[in-house]
Amino acid sequence: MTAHAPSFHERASHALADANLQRSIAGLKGGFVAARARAVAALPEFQAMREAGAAIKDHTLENLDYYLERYEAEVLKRGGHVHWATDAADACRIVREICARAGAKIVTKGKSMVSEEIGLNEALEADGIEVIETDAGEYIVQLAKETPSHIVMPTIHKTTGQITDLFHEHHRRYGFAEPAQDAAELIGQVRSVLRAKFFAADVGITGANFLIAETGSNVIVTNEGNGDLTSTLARVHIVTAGIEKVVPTLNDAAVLLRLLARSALGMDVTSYVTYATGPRRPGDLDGPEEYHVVLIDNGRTKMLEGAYRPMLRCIRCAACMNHCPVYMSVGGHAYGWVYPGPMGAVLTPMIAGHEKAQELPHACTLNGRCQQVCPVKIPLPDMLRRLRHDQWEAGFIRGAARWGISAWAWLASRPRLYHALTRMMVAVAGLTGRSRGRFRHLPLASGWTQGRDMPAPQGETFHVAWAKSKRRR
Amino acid sequence: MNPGCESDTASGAGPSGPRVALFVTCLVDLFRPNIGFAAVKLLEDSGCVVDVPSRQVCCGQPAYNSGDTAAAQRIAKQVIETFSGYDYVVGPSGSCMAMLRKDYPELLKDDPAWLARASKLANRCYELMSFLADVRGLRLKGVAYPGKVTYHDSCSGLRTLGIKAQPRRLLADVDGLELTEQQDAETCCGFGGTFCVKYPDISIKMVSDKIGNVEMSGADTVLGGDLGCLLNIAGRLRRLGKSTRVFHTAEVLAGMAGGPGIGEPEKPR
Amino acid sequence: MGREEILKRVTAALGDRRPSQTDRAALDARMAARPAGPPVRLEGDLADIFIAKATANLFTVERIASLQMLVPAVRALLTESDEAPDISMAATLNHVGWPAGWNINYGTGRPTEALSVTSALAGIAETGSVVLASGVGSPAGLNFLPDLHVVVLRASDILAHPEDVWRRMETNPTAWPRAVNVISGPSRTADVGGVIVRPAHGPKRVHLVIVDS
Repeated sequence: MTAHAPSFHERASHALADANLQRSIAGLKGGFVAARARAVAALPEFQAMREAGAAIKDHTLENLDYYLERYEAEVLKRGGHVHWATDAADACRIVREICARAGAKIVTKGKSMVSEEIGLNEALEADGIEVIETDAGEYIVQLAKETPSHIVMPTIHKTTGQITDLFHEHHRRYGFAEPAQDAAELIGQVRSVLRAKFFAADVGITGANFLIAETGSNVIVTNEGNGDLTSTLARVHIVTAGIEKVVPTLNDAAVLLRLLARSALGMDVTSYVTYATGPRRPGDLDGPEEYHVVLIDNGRTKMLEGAYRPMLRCIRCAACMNHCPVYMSVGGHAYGWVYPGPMGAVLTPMIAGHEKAQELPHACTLNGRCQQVCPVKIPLPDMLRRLRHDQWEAGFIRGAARWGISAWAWLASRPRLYHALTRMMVAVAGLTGRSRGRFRHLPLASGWTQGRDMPAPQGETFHVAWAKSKRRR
Repeated sequence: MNPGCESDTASGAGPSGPRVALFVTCLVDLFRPNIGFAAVKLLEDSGCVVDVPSRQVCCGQPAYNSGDTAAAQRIAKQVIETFSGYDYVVGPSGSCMAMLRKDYPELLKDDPAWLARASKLANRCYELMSFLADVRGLRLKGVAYPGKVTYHDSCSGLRTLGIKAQPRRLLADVDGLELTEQQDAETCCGFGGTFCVKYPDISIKMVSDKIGNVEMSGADTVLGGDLGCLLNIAGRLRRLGKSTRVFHTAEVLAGMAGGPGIGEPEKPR
Repeated sequence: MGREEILKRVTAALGDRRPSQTDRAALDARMAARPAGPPVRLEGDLADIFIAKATANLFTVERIASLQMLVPAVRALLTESDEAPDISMAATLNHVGWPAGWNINYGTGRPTEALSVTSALAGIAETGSVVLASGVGSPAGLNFLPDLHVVVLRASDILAHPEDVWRRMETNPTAWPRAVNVISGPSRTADVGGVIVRPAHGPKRVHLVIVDS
């Protein structure tokens, strides 16, 4: 669960130079962004729905102990098991024990970001279990031994050509000798390969978009149908979910579901929304024989405590990253961990620790587009600024970054001294730069001048010129 | 009236119109005083009496956004002191005025006395375009700028203060000016304060995208309400050898865009 | 134990205040009342809205006067073949009078499934969705395994909003189904190059048969 070692800077540089990646990300603008805008415009109640969604989440979080207990009670009444994992290691241990008791050899997985957060696949594979991701994008990324670069569309960084080569290499053993001709053929191969795995699986693991306290249900939202095949066909169904996924009632989930598909994909609703509750009932012809929910803390109670609580409203729609000009420039892998973009810049330091994610809160212009599109109105820029504050207070911000700001603030508190100094500096800069109007190189400002000229000051500061003009009036 | 003395009246009192303090902003002071003069002219044209308190430097954004909250609080208190006693405080920058309007009360919320003063100031603070259009209802006459202009919506002004229609409304009164909208006008230009020097690669990509949109709009001039953005855009335009002109909206509205644009050399005498 | 530790952390994070009796009563009441969010306005005939949305969702839709027309409707969907049709079906539909020559599997879904016929308990006009519940005689697998999924829906079961569906259903532990599937179209994915491909794992086509009486 450690965030990757090379810095954000390095990964970002790589990403900017990656032509394939840049082409793929550019497609997002016309895709998710335009689709979301259309979907939002088509629902007059959308803004009211955002208010309601934020309020439902806040209410639940304010009473999270009550709702977790109610949820658990309902799951138990309906023949399910509830496990509570304090952190990633604890969660992996619990899932491994369930799989061991089940004698699991093959485990299918629906898409679960929290399972990636806790490093579940590696833990199960270390026990000799074959783990197969069934969401097409996650399957592709797993085959490629990469990590997803977007929380809704994991393969945004991969071209069709790359996927064709990947399948050509790995699907030979399933009888696909020739490379696929197009996306449809590639997905056809996924369907064929995974259909067999669904039936062979001993354990199916899914995430949960929501956990409903009223009925003890987990809700999963897909377009592919893979989550349902994962949970229905295996003998044991395990749900991995953060504790913040609980919502009180079916109607509360309805509000959030109205926000989710629109915000994520620009669809009113996805092809499949499934409410799964407990193991099969007497008379049921299919369904799991065992149903387990692993509730995961892993830093969430820490967020609940203070200024970061609104981050727990997140419904993992990815609207923030789709609209973030930084994410749209460097893609998801630059962020170095499971959660990219604005939400990742908050969650990574909160879950994986400040030390592992220091740059992320700074790799942001605070432009606020993310907050504007967040379906549950998370004040993301405020959270990112708060993280910067936490870093400053903890002494993580050092060197030029620290003394530069401190020097500026010191000067800014001394207007007379400041104006005397700047009067001189501007005069000098005006002498050297005014004829050309700009500087091509500036010592101490190479970050600016490596790609931009610096427009030259006009020879006098405003205050000097104003004082002069007042004397003339 | 002396700075530091609280005024109880908020609206325009007396025959000379409301007393407005100009919040110059550090960037205008250092890089482009012309914008300050343009702001003064527009404020006076709209019937205000303008004062420029000399004890001002900065709104405190650099410290606030870097995480040095304590320094930001110190600066905020100083600004509140300096700018009390006016009917309005107006500045040619969405980001600075958003700081005063929204962030000062937030910064000082743990001290009831300072919170009260910050809130009082906040209510009187306006970004220049919104003040001229929404509060003063300024209609311009006899101002010309022949050219095709596109407008860049700076992020703080847009999202925190709702500056969108006002500059466009004011520009509509300028003779000869054709306003054309660029694609993604609301997308960040990549300035972001220290972001542009901390993450230059990303910043340059963002500003290059912005310039691509400006060019596609067919405009020969790009305008905006925040000098940080404009320095960023002009700096990249000049480096790319492009001739698109860059001004602050106030300069055009005040008829003071006859000289060199941002980043352009002064014409030889 | 993880449970005690986590609940302790939660309570501490919430100000170390456990809900009082009155708090609990209020929260219990809210759960029981199941308050709805902002209403989504629908204008016009519910069935018309439903059919328009379902069609936009890429269902194929037909209306029949009564269940007696179901057999010919399904026969029309089968491909021409010498062999007797081999399909799966929810046992809740076994009374309809299927031809004797048909091989109908009333059990669980199979790895290869050309066509399944299932019964929806409701339609949702707001989103153009059908709601299917698992239970005796209706295995959930039939909703996901076939290439062609046929859903039979009574016109009178077309409701406006998901809230209306929940109001109709019993949520107690014995009555509430193991799986409630809200289906709004065929299976699809855009994970390869952003190109939308149908199907992914689920049905390639979902055909709604709306029964008027």
